[in-house]
Amino acid sequence: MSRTIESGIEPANLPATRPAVFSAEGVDRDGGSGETAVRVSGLTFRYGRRPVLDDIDLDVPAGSSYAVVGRNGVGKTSLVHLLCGLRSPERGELTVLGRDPALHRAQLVEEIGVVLERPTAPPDATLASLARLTGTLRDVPVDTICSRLARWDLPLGSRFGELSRGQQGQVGLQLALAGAPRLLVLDDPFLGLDVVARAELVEALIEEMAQRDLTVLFTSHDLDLVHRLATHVAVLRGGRVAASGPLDAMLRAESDGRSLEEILAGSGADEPVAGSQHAMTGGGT
Amino acid sequence: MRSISRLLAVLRFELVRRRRLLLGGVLAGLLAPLLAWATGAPLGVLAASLGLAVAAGTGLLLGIHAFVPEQLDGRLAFLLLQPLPAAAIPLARGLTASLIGIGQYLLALLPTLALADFATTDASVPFEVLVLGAAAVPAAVFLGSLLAMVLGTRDRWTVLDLAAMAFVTVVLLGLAPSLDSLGLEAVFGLAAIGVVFLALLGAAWGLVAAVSRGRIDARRGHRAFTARLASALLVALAAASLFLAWASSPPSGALAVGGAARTATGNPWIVLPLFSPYWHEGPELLRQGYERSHAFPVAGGKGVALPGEARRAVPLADSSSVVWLADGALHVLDLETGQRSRAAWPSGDPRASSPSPDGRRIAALFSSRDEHGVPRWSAEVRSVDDPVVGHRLELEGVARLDGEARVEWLEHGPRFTVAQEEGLAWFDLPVASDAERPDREMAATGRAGRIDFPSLLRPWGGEPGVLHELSGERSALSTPDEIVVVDRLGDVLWRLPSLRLGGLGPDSAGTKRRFGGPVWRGDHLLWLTLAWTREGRTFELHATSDGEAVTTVALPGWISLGATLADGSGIAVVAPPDSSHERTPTQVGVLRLPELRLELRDAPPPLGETPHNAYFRLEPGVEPRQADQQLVHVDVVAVVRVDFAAGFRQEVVFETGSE
Repeated sequence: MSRTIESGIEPANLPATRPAVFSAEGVDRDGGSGETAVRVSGLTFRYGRRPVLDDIDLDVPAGSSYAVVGRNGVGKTSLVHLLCGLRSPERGELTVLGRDPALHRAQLVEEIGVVLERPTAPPDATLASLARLTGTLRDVPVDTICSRLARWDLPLGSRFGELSRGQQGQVGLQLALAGAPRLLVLDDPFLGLDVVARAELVEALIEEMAQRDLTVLFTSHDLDLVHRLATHVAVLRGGRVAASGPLDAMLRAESDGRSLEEILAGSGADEPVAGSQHAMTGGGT
Repeated sequence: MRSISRLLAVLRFELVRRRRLLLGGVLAGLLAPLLAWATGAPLGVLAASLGLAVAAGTGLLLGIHAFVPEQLDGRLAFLLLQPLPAAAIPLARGLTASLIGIGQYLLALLPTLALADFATTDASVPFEVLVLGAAAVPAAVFLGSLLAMVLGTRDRWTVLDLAAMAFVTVVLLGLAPSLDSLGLEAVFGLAAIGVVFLALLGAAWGLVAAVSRGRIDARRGHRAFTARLASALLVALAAASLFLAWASSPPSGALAVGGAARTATGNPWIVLPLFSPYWHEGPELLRQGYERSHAFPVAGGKGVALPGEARRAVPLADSSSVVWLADGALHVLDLETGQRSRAAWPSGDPRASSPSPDGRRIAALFSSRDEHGVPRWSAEVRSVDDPVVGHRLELEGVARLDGEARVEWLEHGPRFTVAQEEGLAWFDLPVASDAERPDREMAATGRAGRIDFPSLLRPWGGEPGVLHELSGERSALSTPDEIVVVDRLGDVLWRLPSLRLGGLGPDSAGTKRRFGGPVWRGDHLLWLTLAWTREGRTFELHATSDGEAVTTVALPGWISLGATLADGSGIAVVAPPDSSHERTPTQVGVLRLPELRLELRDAPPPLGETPHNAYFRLEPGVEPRQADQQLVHVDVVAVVRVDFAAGFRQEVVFETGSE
């Protein structure tokens, strides 16, 4: 079986100040702190009668860059919504930075930054007003936010709806990072971006990750991006976690003889990979 | 404080986003003078209407788009991902929409208000209109949000919302007829207002919950809304039911006797003037057995006119209600079925009215200042035919058993005259229809009789006299100083001089005031006089049948609450000074008058088949002051059946007043 996942995730590509998660040999994957930023246990969620997430377990180590990958419709966005308290699970336990998002959404979002797949800022709001609102709500000087936006050539007088898709994503990221969150949640933020916009966004993200201890959880079905950004990966398939664990361990292990792409695609087996989660998680521990 | 500052931040953000909508108000303000100039319409009204339409329309649209559409497409996440209480989102959006709408309204009025300074009288905008507009905008915002929530989400909860609202409406409307028969429209109105208020409160609660619970899940949000709306509706319905049950059955302690009972002559109905201080005021109608049957929201002291037979209807003139302000309504109650109808009564308060014995028609006499006469209604304009002009006319309408009516009045001044006219106008009582039915006009037949009252010029705070029809075509006229019994032609048959008739009590000026007059049945008169004794002020209960005063009995008290005559017993109710302000009787006197020969044909017993009953509670153990009289004093007044033949109290039916 040929390896389709190349190691584009060279540690050299990542900032030297990254936590131990990148410097360790796939042993200490808790980002060096041993803490867990996100813990999901037996989480089940449905849209009406249609099951979306079915009894999933997930641990996101603090300081890690955790990618949740899967094909369209496997529940990545729903998982993000649940993590942010935008929806409530039907069953199971969910803890984000020690809080239940369904119960403590307002407190939780003070410590996290979120960029959703589709921009949600009002199209008629100017970037200046968005900066002012974010600054007031998150106790951040408005000038700081404006500087962030200006650095990426985002015109403060423009209305959000007038921006390109890439610019909207950049605005979303900068506003999400404005409050210095401990956890950054990105729901496929690069979807639909052109090459330049995508590169800029990745650059901004890597820069932020390099500057401080930030846990990042992002969803994607772009494995190249996963290879570039992630330290940990969870593969969602059929509403369940097909595999999860440190990326390097997952790349090395191949205990079941399948590549990440194959796991993602579900080839070779219809059910979640038996033991892979164990094996990879075990490899991480 | 932090939450408030964050709420204000969102409010400012939303206002800035939507500030362009204010241009709508500016345009309306500029358009109004042009339209006024083109159409000639009053500028103030036009500007207010235009501004209100723009503002309310904007408010409605902003309400519709407050959060439900964003919830449906997920864009509400923008605010939900901010460190804000979820409730702040609908609150901020609602406030924004209201402020934008009110701003539009004021901007629309601004040019007009500026023009008003140039003496353009039709440019004035009443303050009430400003307030109405300012209140209409938040209401429109709220309505828009409700519409969006109930209809916009398009899920199964919409059916439940509509079903819950329909259910409560149907149940409430189902209660209305029974309440109407009790004369409790005012109470029903209050209950309905309460239900609407609680429903709106529940809806507002539901809208907040739709965001806080549903977040970006519109279906879950709608479920939260429906649960709260339905809960509020059920609570409102339960509260309204309890309230209506309570109001329609006021506790006995809440009722106070306002006078002596009156009775029908052909059936066991009696009118006991019990007044509830709460939701309805008016006399109670009791059947024999004293179960409470009907109460009426009657104010103004008109009370129930109980026709002689009293089998069909009891008309009430001039009903009014603090809630509905239903001036000039005529209520007709069918005593057998309990059905109650209400008719539009011509404007004005009849000076005298009298129902026919069968309760099907009512005679009425209207007065205007010093003119009195039977009106004729034409195109809703009342004119008085053959007005009787006089100085201080006192009128009394009398219904005759033969179906004709006669009106008598007393004209006083330098000379006082008792006059009669036959053929008082009759009006059919609209038992089955609310339609007004003018009847034939009165035919005046002249006047008869003349009585001089030389003493009437002396100062007196009360009414100069009241006429009562006695049997044998006689009338008794009570004056401050005497009773004069006259025949049909006005000739004096006999007088009871030197008697101060009726009860006396203090009026607001502290002077004496007379209550009522003599009670009459058949040939017999019963009256109260006031006397000052060593024990203080007392009432004396008198009776006569032929001009000769019979023995009297003393009743300590300060306020007379009336007297009645029942099967040979005179019953008076007086109150001591300490309860006078409550008009709660605490003394009951019963004067047995065995020597009087009651003609039961003309004065049938008040309580139907049990002629020996009276209906005031008598405290056992108190000896009569005179051996041949049943006189008792009581501390607490209640209504009981008293069988004079068998003994004292048989059953307590109806307590009034307080212990």
